[in-house]
Amino acid sequence: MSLSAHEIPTRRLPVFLLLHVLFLSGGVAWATIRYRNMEEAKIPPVPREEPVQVRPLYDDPRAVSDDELRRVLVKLQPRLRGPAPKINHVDHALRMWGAPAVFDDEDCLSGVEMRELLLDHRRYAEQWGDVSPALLTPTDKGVTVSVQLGPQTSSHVDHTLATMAEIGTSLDYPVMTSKGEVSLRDIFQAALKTFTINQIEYEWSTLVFAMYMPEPSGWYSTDGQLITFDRLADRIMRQRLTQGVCRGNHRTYTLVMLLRIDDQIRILSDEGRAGILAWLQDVTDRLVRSQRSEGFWDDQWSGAEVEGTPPPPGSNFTELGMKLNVTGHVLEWWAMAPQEVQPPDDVRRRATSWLIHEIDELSPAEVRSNYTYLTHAGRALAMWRGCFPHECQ
Amino acid sequence: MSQAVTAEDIDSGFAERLAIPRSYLLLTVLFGVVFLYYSYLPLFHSDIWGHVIYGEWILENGQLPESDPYLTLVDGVPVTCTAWLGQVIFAAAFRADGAEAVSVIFGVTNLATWLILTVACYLRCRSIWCAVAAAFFCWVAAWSRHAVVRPEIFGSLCFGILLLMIIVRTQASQTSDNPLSAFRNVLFNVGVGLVFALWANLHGSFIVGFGVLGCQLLGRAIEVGVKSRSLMGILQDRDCWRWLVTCEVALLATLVNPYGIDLLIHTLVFPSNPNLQDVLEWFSLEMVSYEGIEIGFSWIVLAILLRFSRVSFRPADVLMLSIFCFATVLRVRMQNWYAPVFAIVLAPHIADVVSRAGLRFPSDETRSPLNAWLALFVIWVCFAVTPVSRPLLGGDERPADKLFGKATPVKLTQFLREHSPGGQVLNPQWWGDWLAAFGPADIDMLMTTNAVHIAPQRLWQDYMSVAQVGPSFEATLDRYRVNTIIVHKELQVQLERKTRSLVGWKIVYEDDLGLIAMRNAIASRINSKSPTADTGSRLPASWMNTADTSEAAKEMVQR
Repeated sequence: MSLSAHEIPTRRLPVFLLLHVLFLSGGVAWATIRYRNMEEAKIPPVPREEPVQVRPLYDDPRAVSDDELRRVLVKLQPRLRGPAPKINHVDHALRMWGAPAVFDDEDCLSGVEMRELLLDHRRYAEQWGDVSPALLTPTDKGVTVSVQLGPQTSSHVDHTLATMAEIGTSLDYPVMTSKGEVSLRDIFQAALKTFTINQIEYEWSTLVFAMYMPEPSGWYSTDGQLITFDRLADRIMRQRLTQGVCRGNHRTYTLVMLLRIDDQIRILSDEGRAGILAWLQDVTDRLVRSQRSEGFWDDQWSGAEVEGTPPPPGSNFTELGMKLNVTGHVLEWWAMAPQEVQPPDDVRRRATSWLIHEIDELSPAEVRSNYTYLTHAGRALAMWRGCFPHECQ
Repeated sequence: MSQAVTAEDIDSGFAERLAIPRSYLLLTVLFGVVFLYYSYLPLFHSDIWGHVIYGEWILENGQLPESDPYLTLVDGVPVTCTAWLGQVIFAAAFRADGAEAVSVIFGVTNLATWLILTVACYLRCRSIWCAVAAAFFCWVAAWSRHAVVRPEIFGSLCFGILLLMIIVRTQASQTSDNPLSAFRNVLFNVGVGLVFALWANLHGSFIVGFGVLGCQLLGRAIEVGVKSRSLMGILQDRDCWRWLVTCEVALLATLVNPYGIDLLIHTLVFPSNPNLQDVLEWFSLEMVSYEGIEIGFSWIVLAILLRFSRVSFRPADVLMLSIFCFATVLRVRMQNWYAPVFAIVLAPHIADVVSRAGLRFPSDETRSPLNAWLALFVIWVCFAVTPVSRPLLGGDERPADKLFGKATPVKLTQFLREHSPGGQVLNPQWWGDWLAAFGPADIDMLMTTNAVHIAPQRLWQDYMSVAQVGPSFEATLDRYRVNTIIVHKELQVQLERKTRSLVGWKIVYEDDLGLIAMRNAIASRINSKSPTADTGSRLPASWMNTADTSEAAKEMVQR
């Protein structure tokens, strides 16, 4: 039978078919490989196992004497033993005291006990029972830490994780959730996967990434933005000075830590580093100007910005609480900050003197109600003697 | 014996050749009106200006941007410029003759698109007026989108050319006893390759071209399969193979772009961007909307024609119509591509129904040189009175209120240029591109239309939240350090109300269209300064001279 002009000979069909199948499957394979490459580029780098450690830079006995430091540290011991200790107290105390801390006072939790309370759901459940939400929640993104959902939860986004980083916890440290054992890496992964640069609290997350992330080149957030430490620093410096928890001072502390980590591993560009230094110098200048004659700072520490003076804080703070909060935080970041952003010595000494005096005067009830702020103050005073609290005891 | 050719013979021969029927003259008038209409449509205030500044950036830097050059908040988000060539064309036009040239590009491209579409319809129905009617139905079916000025217009042109080429090829293969010659087939594939190569660089809509080609392939396979009732019949059909080769050529051609195969991947995954769920043109079709009414109209026309038409449907036509119709129901944005398909498929049915109904368009095939002269005159008039003639004939730029759409914040922008607050601004997203182009260069937009698909989801949600006065309104403003709020009063009633009630903010400018509020300290600073001449913008704004800030606005600042 002859073929019509619209038909092609049967013997040619296999060749035709083969060529087209090859062409199309080649195209699909190429596209698949490229797509996979594009997706792989979005996978964040593997974090380092051990966090970068940063130590205080100065030892100034004129700012804090041995005796003053001893008195303060005794007063701020973590007397948290008992049912249902507030989790934000526990993770602040652990950050101040570190895992090696042990105390003679039986009411105090040791550093190891505090870490267990935070990372072992069995210990947590012994104190808090079957509470909902629990502190640790396994999700498809890793293990999330509940925040600002009651006294059984943490007070700031990624604060618990940052505490673990600052006290030198390895990412393979075991974590026990209600569904079984994982590791600290799972908490880190959840923090990484849920992070976006415009989230409300980002200071502690930034600190965590700076301490655990291995590469300065950056990584992509889940919503597709390249995250670098320059960009994180810009984000921290974007808002008005007093905005953010603890009157903006966590932002300043994190910037200082970025500089210090950058001294060990290059995570900032030259421009990024210069930008942070300039910003911190401005903050120090403002603090020098706004320090009260007694030595403390209050909610107006920043002075006027382009928008005017800062609005008053919410009703969470007592007057003394605010002074302790701001003054303690300021001394804490100065203790870690390079020389370029330090205030004159007398400014700092007036502040430490006021702080020590106020802590001396506090009743146990006042210590309890201001405990989270006081941990920053206590840590700051120890660091001005060149050590962490558990090393100075 | 040869005969001497006289000058009169030459004249009369020329005149004969020039002679055209009256229908051509009427067509010229019709398309002249179409051209005038598109040339004088005020430019829309939305994303066109984002495309122009992107094009300007590309021209200035000689490379494609890796992230949005104008929105600080999306720094670090990779950008794929799917319309880079279209953006460059707009920017080059803007460089040549300002906003008027953008208008010219719009007018000329639309004229070309409608001409091509009408010719394509004509080839399917062989009746000029039925073709015009089909084109008119197409215009009605996508009326909501007819004034959209963006690189998509180049996509529409490419789509029209592709449809025309497909019709020419299909008809050549149907009417000829011999199949399409190999040479003509090569020529067709080269043409398709060129169209797709251009289209892939002009606009991301090139993907719909594959839909049309795929329908031709599948339609032909169905046709042959139904006839032969065997798979071998389909495999042996030369036309099936040719359509497949055409698809492959088109696929290869789209790789000729700065991103290579990544462009194709990006275009395919683009609709999955979660931010698009909030964008109107990515919604599914709602019948109680302009788009719904237009599409509903097209369905009614289709139903009537199908009831009376005796012309059989080609499987490829059924597939095209169904797929594009379905796509429009899923995403209303597809209306722009459905409408031409609707016209092409319908054209032969219109002709058949008209003929069955005994309706006859006035047939006047008497050719006359006068018609040609009149047609030339019409073309000249259209050329002379539209902005396209400005480079040759001169003339002033239209005043701002004629050149730009009513919702363009011309005066508000001028105020902003003279009293720039600097820093972060909360702006209506649809004004963002305009403000980025013509507003002071030292302000940062919170959102632009061009950045909707780039913005990290959190940023987009925050923008939507403050624009709709959601919870934590002021805290969100603080988080982005927004010190200036710009409100489009007509479309942001809630935000206007909220802005007026904000403590610590002051309204520093207001006109019928919008208002600007700033934090008190910044408003006072601006109040204490006399207006600066011009703080400069990314694009030169010649229209500034024609848009006087109202006295009321000036008084507002003084207060």
